[in-house]
Amino acid sequence: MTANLSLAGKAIVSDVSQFGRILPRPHSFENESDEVTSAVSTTRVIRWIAAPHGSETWDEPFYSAYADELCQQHVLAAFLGAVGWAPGARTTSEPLPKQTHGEESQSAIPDALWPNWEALRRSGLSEQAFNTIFVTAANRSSAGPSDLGPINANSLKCFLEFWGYIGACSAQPEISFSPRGLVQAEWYKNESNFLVVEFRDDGTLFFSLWDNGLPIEGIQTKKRKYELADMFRVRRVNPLLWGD
Amino acid sequence: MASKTPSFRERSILARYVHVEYRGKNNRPKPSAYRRSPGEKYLSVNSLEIHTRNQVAAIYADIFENGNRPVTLTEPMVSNYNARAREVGVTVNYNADDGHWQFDENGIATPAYLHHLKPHNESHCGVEFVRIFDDFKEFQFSIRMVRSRTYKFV
Repeated sequence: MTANLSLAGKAIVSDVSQFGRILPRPHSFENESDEVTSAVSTTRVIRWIAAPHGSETWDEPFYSAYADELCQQHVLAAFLGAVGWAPGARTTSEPLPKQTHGEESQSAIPDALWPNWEALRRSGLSEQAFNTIFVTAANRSSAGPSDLGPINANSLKCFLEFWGYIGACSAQPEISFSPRGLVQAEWYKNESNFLVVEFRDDGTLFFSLWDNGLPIEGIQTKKRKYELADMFRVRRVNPLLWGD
Repeated sequence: MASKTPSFRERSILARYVHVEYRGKNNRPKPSAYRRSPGEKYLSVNSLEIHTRNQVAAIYADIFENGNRPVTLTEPMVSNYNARAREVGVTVNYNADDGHWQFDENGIATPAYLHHLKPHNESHCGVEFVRIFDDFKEFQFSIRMVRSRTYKFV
């Protein structure tokens, strides 16, 4: 497979196989008996290298993109190492080890993922959404030029509860995190038709629904968050189906 | 160049760098692109009266993206910021006497836009009125700003 590759290519194949053993494959959550071997991004790179591209010249834009990706995976690898996922030793079907009191301040594990791990693995979120959460959690817990705050665990919990209620009949939203670490889910059709919901750390929800350019906005209390989901679902046009 | 001061005229462009986390599908900025980072007292923007679009892009590429280009910049005009503020209940008025945009902060007329000169970032400015937003207004404002479709890849 690597015979026609440059030295740089071979180095990357080596990296891929190294990280491929370490990184989880979120898709495997649907089938816990799967052996977890690689992340989606890693798989994509392997596919590219294996593909008959008919050229030995290195694709510069691709190399840049991959370098970025690998950089993120280094963060992931460090994180996974910290929680004891040595290559071949664990799979994502196993729960994280319990965090005992007093470990928190010394741990490299993003706080938001600990209390939400079980809900996250059973959430049925797309691989892309899962990767976004995972990579953002890792990036925001490490020192860097970014001044964005760490992911808020309560906000993530609130989102996962909401998603648990609507997930079976909703398109996958685009997930991002506000600078203060709050989850924002966006169901986007076009610039005139989209829904953004922000999950606050106290359990309230900010929502902004734009239907043909007209906004419907408000704040929903924690207790009534499912009523908000029902309100979206019974609309003539269900915004929870926008996206994908 | 460093001594130049932005005029903040209605059609002056105040570019905002879009962090890599806030580029959605097709590089569309996500609403959080217009949210302040924790501890920031104003919304950081860059005046294109002082630096060119390319220079601003280079500044943020160096700070956040290891010099890699392109970066995403949104480029709303002062009038866009004013209009979106009005939509969420904050009025920004033009004071013809001293030539400043002002907003009401605890009964005091306060400049809505200020030049915050920084080393290596001489065009750095602040949209000041965002600090009187409560959380929900900040949420509404950010969503309205990303609808402006003024983003570019530089």
